[in-house]
This record gives sequence, structure tokens and C-alpha cells, in this order.
Amino acid sequence: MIRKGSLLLLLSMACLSLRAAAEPVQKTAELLDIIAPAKSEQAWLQIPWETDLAAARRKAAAQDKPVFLWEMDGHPLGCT
Amino acid sequence: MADREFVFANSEVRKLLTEKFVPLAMDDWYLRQQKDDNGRFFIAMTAASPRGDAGDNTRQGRYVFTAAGKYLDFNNNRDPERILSMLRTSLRTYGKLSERDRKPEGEIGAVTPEPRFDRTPPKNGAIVNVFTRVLEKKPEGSLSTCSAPPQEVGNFRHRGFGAAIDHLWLREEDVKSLLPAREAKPGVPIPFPEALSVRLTRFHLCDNSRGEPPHWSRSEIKKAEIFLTPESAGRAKLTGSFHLETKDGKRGFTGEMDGWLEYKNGKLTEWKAVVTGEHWGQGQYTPGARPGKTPIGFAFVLCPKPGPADLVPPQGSRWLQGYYEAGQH
Repeated sequence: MIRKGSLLLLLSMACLSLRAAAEPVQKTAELLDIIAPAKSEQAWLQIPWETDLAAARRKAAAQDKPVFLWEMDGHPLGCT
Repeated sequence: MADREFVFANSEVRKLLTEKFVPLAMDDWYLRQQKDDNGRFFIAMTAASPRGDAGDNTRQGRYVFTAAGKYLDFNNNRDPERILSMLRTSLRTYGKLSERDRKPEGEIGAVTPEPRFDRTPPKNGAIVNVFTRVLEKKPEGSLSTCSAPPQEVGNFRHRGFGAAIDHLWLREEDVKSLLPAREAKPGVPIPFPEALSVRLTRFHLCDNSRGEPPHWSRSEIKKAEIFLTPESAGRAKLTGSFHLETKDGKRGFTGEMDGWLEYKNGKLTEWKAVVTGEHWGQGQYTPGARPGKTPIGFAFVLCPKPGPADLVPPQGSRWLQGYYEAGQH
């Protein structure tokens, strides 16, 4: 029984080693960097977007500028 | 998504919008339905636009108008040159308008939003930014961003390789439920709060890389196990395992979570986690998925100092109660 148990344990460890060799574990921090937006993808956020219509109108009246509205199904600054 | 890549990344568009306009971004689903001063203003302003006869349907696009509500121009094209032309034309038109057409006579007061469309981040809660990206697996097994195919001239088609953005909202009681009790033993896993586990799974493990995705229903959760394992005072490891699948098997996701939480004085100070795995299928509004099961990653990052873009409500919160009580509805 002990020999059989030891053999099973060795087999399990061998399988785990093979799996580790086939699929190297990537560090979470590295994956966060890969998934999150790169700086080059965030140029559109350099535009000083307002998110409240009344506030944007007040600003436009005060600065004598037209309002540019980016309107999407799904918030343009969020999931769209 | 494509607008960000093709239109608003353009330096001339950015410069003009920043210097000569008041740029505003809004969710049409809310604005076109709101029966408050903002909703009424929007419907009245768009009446003169090509979306004027949209009725209850979408009015999405780009508009230029004045503070007084005079419509000036509309465009719904991704070619930055056409947007630039629209901006320049509308500026010339604006310059010829009377004072009355430019500005309203009275003050523009703050608008009390219609309650069912009011989305304010939870008081004393937390906002966790959620990023999604479709990935590629390298021959040795590690994950990377997708290599972009050569862009065709004049083709502004959505590739869906960029990072999608959404936000996970936590109420004060959610944050409290997350923090391990003082007597929690280091190294001993604690199940993640059930309500949060279902909310995170149903609304934030969706492939939104090509637009508004279908969210998962409760019955489509085959497995969603998340554990917090205290590591030291104020820090816990986050691990999880997921299997989500529609009844017909045409859309699904399997993946694993790895990350950590940090907390101090009863508050979350850091949440960094990734969920990586394989996704398959697409939704009604998200065509163009890669065939078969393909790698995808979700990143969860606590937002300590939210800016305007971070305050945008979760896509899954259009029915707010259903979002917060995801395990019951």
C-alpha cells in the first residue's frame, strides 16, 4: 500500500511538473500590464470630457463655445 | 471603442475639441429616456438632426449644439477627416449666430435627474476599474496582446484588440463584507462574499471587447468560486475559478483568478487581480468574435482617486437593483 501510495504521489508530482513546464505561470503584475490600457491607447482621455449635460451647457455659455456631444449606447467613457 | 482608436486619438481632433469646444460624453440609453430637464433638452436639440425621427430608438452619434439648444451639426462616421470637417464647419456656423442662439437668457441650473436614471457611485463604497482584452497565447504558453493585422486604408472597422473599460461598484456594506475578520488565520482560505461573487461574475466577466456584451444570467454560472486567503495583516490573496456557459453552449468562458487585496482601517486600499482563460461565442451587438475558444483577460484595479471617466456607472447597472442583488434576480 505504501509503495502504491508513493508511486501515485510521484506520478502526481511529475504531472504537475510537466504542466508547469508546458504552461509557465505569468506573474499577476505582468498580466495586469498586458490587459490594462497602454498609454498609447489612452490619447482620447486627454480630451477634457464633461459628463453632465447641464454643466457642459453652463461652461459653454460662460466660455462662448459650442458643445460637442459624443453620444453612444453604452457610455463612451466606459463600456461601449 | 473604435471611436477612441480612430477619431479621438487623432491629434488635430483632440486639439480642436480641447480649445474650441466643450466636449461632452454621454450614454444615449439614459439620456434619450430621461424625463427631466437634461432629457427634454436633448430630445428637443436632436429634433433638427438626422436622428430627429428616432422616436424611442437610438440617437447615438456626434452632435454640435449651443448652450441655448440650437442644433448645429451631426456626424456618425469614424473617419477623422470627416469629423474635422464637421468641427470646422460648425465653428464657422457658431461664429455667425446671434447671442440669443448661443446662450440661454437665464441661468442654467443643476438638474435633478429622474430617480430611475440617477447613477451616483455608492457613498463610502469603492470603484474598481475592470479592463478586458482579448489575448494571444505564445508558443511557450504565456499570454500577450494580439498582434494587429495591417490596417486597410480607409477602413475604420473595429478590431476589438484594445482594452475595454467598465467599473465594478461596491457599496459600503460590500467593502465591509470583503475585509477578512481580525481572527482570520493566515493561509486559511475564506469564501468570497456570495453577493459580490455573483455580481463580479455575471456583469464583469463578459467579453465587452467589441461593444455592449450580453451579461451572464444566474443559470449560466456553472462554477464561480472565489477565495480570499489572508497573507499578513492588511493583505489577502485572491484566487478563483469560473465556468460560465449559455444553455446552447454557443457562448462561454472558463478561467482562473489570481491577485490580492490590501486594506487598512476598515477600507480597501488596493485590489489588483486578473482573470485569464478562454472565451467563445459572441452577442447580438458584439459580432466578429474570433472562432473557437480563444484567450481573454480581465484586470481588476481599485480606483483610489476617481476622475470623470471613472465615475461612469457599470454597464450592468441599467437596472441598479438587479446589479447590486445579482444573486437574487
